Amino acid sequence: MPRNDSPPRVLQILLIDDNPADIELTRQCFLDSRTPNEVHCAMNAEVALAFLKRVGQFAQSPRPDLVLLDLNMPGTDGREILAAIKCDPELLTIPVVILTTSDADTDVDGAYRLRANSYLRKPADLNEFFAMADLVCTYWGHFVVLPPVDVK
Amino acid sequence: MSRPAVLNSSPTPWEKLKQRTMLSRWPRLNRRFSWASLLVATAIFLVDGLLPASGAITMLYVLPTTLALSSRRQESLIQTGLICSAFIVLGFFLGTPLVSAADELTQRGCALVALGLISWVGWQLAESVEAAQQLRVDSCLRQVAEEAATFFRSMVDQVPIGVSRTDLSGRFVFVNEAFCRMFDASVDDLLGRTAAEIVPMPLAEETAAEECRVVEADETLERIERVGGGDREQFVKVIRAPVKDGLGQIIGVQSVWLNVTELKRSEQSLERHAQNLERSNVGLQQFAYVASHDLQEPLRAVSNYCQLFEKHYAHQLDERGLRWLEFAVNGSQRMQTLVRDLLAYARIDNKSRTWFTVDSRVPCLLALENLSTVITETHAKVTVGKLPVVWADAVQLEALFQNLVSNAVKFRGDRTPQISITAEKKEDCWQFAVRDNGIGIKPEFHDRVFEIFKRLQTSDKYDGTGIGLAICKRIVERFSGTIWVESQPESGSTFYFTLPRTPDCPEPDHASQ
Repeated sequence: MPRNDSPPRVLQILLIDDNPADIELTRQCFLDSRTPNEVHCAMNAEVALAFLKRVGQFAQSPRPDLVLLDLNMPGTDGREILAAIKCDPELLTIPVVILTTSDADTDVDGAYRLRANSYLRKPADLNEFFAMADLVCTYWGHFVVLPPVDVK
Repeated sequence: MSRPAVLNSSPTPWEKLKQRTMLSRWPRLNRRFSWASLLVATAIFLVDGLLPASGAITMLYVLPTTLALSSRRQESLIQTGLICSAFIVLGFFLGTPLVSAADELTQRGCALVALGLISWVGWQLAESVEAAQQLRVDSCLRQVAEEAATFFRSMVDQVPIGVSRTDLSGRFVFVNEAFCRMFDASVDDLLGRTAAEIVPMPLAEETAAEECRVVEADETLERIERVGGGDREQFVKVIRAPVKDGLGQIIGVQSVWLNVTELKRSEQSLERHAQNLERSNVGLQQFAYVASHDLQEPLRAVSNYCQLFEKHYAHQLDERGLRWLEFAVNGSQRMQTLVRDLLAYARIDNKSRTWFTVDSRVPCLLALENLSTVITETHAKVTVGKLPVVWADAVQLEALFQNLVSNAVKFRGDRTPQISITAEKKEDCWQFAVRDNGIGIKPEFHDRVFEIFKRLQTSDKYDGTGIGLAICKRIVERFSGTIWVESQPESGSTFYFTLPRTPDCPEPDHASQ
């Protein structure tokens, strides 16, 4: 069993979404999860990439264990951010989970082609959303062996 | 006779010429005169030689010579003249003279002189007749040629098709009126000029190049050219052919200019309409798709936050507040369903248009399997008859069966639903029927049930958005079929739809319960 004996660690999540209502809802859902986690938010591509690369004001921020990415965003959209992460040798090991309302075949296919690690559709029902957030936290925070941080 | 009278009665120019110069009658008549003169001359010679006669008889030779003269043929005149002269001389030696040799000689000499005189006069006469004849033929020929030219000219000028001919240097040697009108110029303006001098540059270059091609390839070429610009823009179909002289040498290019502007315009407007329609169809599809996608976001927020609010603050609200909140939650959830259904409807056309041969039994059974819970719950009896192989898409066919059967179950009324699915072979399609024993539909609603979001029942009695049959209609129409319903209230409904038959579809050979 991985990490079962180690003290519970806090799953660092970077949520990239442009909609404050969605951000708060997602935050709320993850707050209720039984697996400890911390959700950081980035509302556009620049902030997100700065956070991931830990530059500027994010120099002291933790390297996220998981990225939750919305696809449809104004300006540089989720697909481009995904491509940017997966093209950067420093960042490509960070798991990226798409969290969006779209379930169009082209979006799903495109995301996996850009090396997304999972594709989640935001549930319409709130209770399902809570359940999903809990599952995501448990899965990535408890069962998944995440890539080691400082290995070249 | 179906041929027009004009064709029968109108003589050819050659016939006209023959009539006017009477060439046909002349040779026969002349030959008769020639033969007659020879006969008469021989007869006189026989009398002169065999019977005792004076030399004066030789004066009779004037007769055949005059006859020969009538023939108006110089050769006949010379012939007769020479023969008669020979007979006169021969008669002197053969005949039995009645008078003295000197008298005889004098008489025959006089006859010879007379013959000579007549021949000379006749020669002159024939000469002038020949000349007059030639003059007459010439003028007739000229007249016929002129008539033919006028005939040709008026015909060519009357046709609404431009006709032109250019020599090898590209200069116009012939143009008709329609051609002049096309380029807004007179015949005099055009003759002797090249295309480059009368038409704008790109067309002139194309024309010259095309004419070169015609000459080089030695064949008829066809192309559509644009003449003029702006309001006066015309599309002209130009057919160019090489013109050859008697030796087969190409001496120019002959072109026919057919104004196809109207045709081209209607073609263009048809194309434009088709494009607009295509665009508006694509736009409409995208609109429905994007609208329902984008509508979902704020709806989700409303619905989720209502629920979140309920979850966290329910204990602080009174009964009325809770009821209102419930209305808000229900409303937003209903809206979400509508939007989702609209999305499903819009997606039918977004799916690929690939058709396959599908054994319609497979999607039908899959649809029944999807509905197994509700079928079991309602104790519905579903009978599936022989179903054929059709030309369609299996996934959409499954959705079609599922919508129809779920409707049949849903609108069952108080009875245990009995549903049968059958297919019947028609002339050019398969006609499917989904029959139930449900509440039925009033005739006035038979068409409207297929409208999008059309509901005939209140939502407290039957849930649903009313998208199901609209989706069915769209699917069936996508496969070039039609869908309709036959029903009476309280006596069940039968939904019929047709699907195209595969080019060589096998007969259905299975049935299941």
